[in-house]
Amino acid sequence: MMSKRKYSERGKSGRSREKWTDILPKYLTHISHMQPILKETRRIINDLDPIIFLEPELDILDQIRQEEEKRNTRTVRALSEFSAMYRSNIYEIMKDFIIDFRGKIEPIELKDYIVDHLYEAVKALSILKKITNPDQRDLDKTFLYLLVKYIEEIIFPRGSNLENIYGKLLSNAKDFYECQRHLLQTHTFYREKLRDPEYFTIPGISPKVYQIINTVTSLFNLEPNYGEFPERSNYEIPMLLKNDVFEPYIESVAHAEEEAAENIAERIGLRVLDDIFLAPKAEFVELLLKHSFLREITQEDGKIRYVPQFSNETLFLYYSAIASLRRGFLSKELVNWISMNFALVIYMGILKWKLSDDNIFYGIFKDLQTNEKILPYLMKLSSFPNYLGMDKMKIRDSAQYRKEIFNFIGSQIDNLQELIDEVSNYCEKI
Amino acid sequence: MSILDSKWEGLLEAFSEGLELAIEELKNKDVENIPGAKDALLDRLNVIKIQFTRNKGELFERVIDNTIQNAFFPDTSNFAEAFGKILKSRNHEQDFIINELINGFVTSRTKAIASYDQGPIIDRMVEAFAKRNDFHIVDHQFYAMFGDPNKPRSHIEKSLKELVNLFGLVSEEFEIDRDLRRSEKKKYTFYTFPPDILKILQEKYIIIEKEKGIFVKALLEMLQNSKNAKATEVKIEINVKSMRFIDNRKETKKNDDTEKNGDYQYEQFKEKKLQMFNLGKIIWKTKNWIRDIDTKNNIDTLKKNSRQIEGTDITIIFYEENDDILKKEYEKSFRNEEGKKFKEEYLLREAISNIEISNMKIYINSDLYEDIEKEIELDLSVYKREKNKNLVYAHVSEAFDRNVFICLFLANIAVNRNNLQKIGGSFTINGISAIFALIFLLSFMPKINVEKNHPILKNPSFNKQKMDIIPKSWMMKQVLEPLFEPLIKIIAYRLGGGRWLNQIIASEINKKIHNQIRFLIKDVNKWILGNLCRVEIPIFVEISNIFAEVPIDLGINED
Repeated sequence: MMSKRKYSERGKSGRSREKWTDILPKYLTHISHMQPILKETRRIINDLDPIIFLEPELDILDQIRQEEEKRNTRTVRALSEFSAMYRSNIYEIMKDFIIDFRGKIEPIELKDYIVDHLYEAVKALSILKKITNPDQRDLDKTFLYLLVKYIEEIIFPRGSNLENIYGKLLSNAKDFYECQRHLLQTHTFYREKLRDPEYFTIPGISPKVYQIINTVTSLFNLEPNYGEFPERSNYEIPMLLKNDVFEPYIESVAHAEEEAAENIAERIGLRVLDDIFLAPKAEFVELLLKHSFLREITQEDGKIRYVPQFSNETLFLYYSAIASLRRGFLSKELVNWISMNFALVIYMGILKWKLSDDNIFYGIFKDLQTNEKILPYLMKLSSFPNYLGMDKMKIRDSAQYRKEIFNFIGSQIDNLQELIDEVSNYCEKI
Repeated sequence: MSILDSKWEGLLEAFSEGLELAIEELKNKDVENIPGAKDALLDRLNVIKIQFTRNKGELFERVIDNTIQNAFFPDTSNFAEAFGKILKSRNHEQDFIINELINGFVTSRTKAIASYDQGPIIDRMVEAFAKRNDFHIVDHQFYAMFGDPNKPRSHIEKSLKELVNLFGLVSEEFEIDRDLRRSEKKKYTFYTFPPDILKILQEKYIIIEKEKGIFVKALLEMLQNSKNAKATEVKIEINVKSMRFIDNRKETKKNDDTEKNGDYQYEQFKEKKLQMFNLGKIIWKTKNWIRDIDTKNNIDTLKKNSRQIEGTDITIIFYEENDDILKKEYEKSFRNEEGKKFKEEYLLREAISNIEISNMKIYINSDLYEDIEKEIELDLSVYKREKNKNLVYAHVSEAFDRNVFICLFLANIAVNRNNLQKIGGSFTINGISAIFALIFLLSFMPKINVEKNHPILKNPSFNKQKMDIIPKSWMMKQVLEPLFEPLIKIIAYRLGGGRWLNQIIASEINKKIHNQIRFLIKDVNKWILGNLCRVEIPIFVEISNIFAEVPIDLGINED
């Protein structure tokens, strides 16, 4: 127990340093080590007589690498180790490539391929390097800003109010609903205290909550009750029995469960009426009407009834919208998850843009050792106020948190890949 | 009538009664907003009632045994076969179903195998496998990637062990005497998929690269040298004890230098090393030099030859201990079945098959080598090769994702269906049966046509090619409840016999599970503007096709 507390205290003490000018150099450190290595390799290969590619064991490449390593003047051990690792990866990849293809294509072409691919890799890194600048000058022309804003607009838009955000989300739902959903469904798992009495915290959507949202959507479409619209006389809104929704998920209802159920309901735009009904909030009713998720029917008694006709995304996007609007109150887990998604999409988008699909060095960029040097800082950079504007203090800095990136990368979905393609197309335009 | 038969009859009867109840309820209530939808559903339920109880529920057997089980829960005791079938039924939408099958367990509380905090573990597996290039996870690497500094090592050790059991991985230990860091003895454990599973994955999910053995490599090097030196003809005499390698290589440009400086060629020639040196005693003749090499006895002499020869002439007398190495290498190349020729020659042929010999003629024991079998042993067992020390490189392809593991997980449950303890007991059984019941019902829902100007047709999320509008009233509690339970029982009985059936008791907890599952498979059973739409994925099409065949079949029988 003691050690645990110590750990978190140490974490806190580091927090005061989290300024833009602190994080950007950290982000650039490794990139500025990678790029020269690629550059010098390109120069060396360019100067080589391709005939040596026919040498059986390609010892020459090893010799060159060892020569290059000797020139290493860096004094920071971690960095020189990283550089050595990076360089040897590059040479390994080249060797494998040469051995694989030398029987099939001419040595001179082999050389051209390698030089081209190195050139692309250098280009990609130089984009990553100048993705933004230290004093954030010409902010709206920097890649980081433009890309964050572009992706944000699709899956986590900003807006002056809920209605605005909801509209934006819905207009992108056709192609990217799965991404929008993925952005809230954290696969990482932290045990954290969500019920802080002082704050209203929005957590990610767990599989169970996802099913509850699912149930609510279906029940509204199937067999809703109707009750008076408190804010507007002569109108009726659809209602569900709270128990119908939550009963399958709760063993016995006590105060804590009541509260949890109400919290979940609130995040999907519902409220509890008369202690037993779940009904859409007044402002949500407006929203639903606007997007024809409610239909007006005039009853025989002259009362106007709002009949629900929800889609799969109706309630889910409300959750997204509210999370986006109140992004200062997202749970730690969700902040990490969202920024990780952004960082990955930006990173992969740039790679996709600059590297051809068959680039032999793609592997190095996707290597976890490279990922963990770039993504964490990209996450932080993209969380700053001008960008995503999330609480970057919640982004974890420990070794453990970096490991979560591995989980995250393992959980990618097809639709995210489509978004990455979209982003790389966008890069092309700017 | 046997007890089994009577039980089955009883289940069918209960289903029939349930249907009647559902039909009654449906008649009393109308929640549909598309004209004709309710009638279409009523008609369909009536047809189901007639058709499915016929011939001792023959149709049930076809739908559940042949179609649903085949795609998601194969009835076999062979793990690899089960996995292969589930994997085969994957596509973008059916992945959602496969995912829901897992989510179904997640909802069935922590007792089930895949509890929530194990969810990310599947992601971990994907990453751990993707990271290495030999399709293995190593325990130490796994600890390094996923260990938690706040938790003792035993925690992550346990978690890895659980994973290994959960997915049925196989392990192999590897001990090194001195590790790099502390020069201590260290034991690593490698985990990989069982060989049969690897074989299935090979087509799409993992890319196997074969590493050549030393003998093949050495041969390849010699051939490559001849090729580089523009030889047009290579003659190789090979037998168990020795090999003679003669080519007619042209002299390289260095020739001029040699004439000017006699020592130059000596140096060139002397320095040149072949991998073959390690395999036998060598007499290497080229131009007017003879080089004798015996690495084992540290002999490497060079003398002038009185006779000048064209090209190169290398004779190798294999060391005796090579026999074992070659034997192993030969076994690894899995050509034992051919029998007649001796192993050296096979290896030689393998080496040649790895090189482009377009303008080179190669004679093996005076026969002209013909390039016939380009596809070198793709069907080899990866695991077996692996045992013989890292001969295979395998890495995962883009397609490799978490669903591969989910398929593996399902396959594991499918083959262990009789071991209730292992698969998570009542929760799993209720979960699986209920989801299959949903798939069953969904497949038989009739399509509804709407007017051309119906708003749903204009909705961007409605895909006319892939989706159909179906009646939504079947999902009403009053209709589904009487239908669902007997159907779940029927499915449980077909899946796991009496043992499974006994777990579907009408307990409160089971009712809750069924209620939770009622609205699952949301991604293929979508709500669009209040209308229920079915995404026409293969499993639904396949099941409904069975139904479409039936009336015709029956018609013929009656004739």
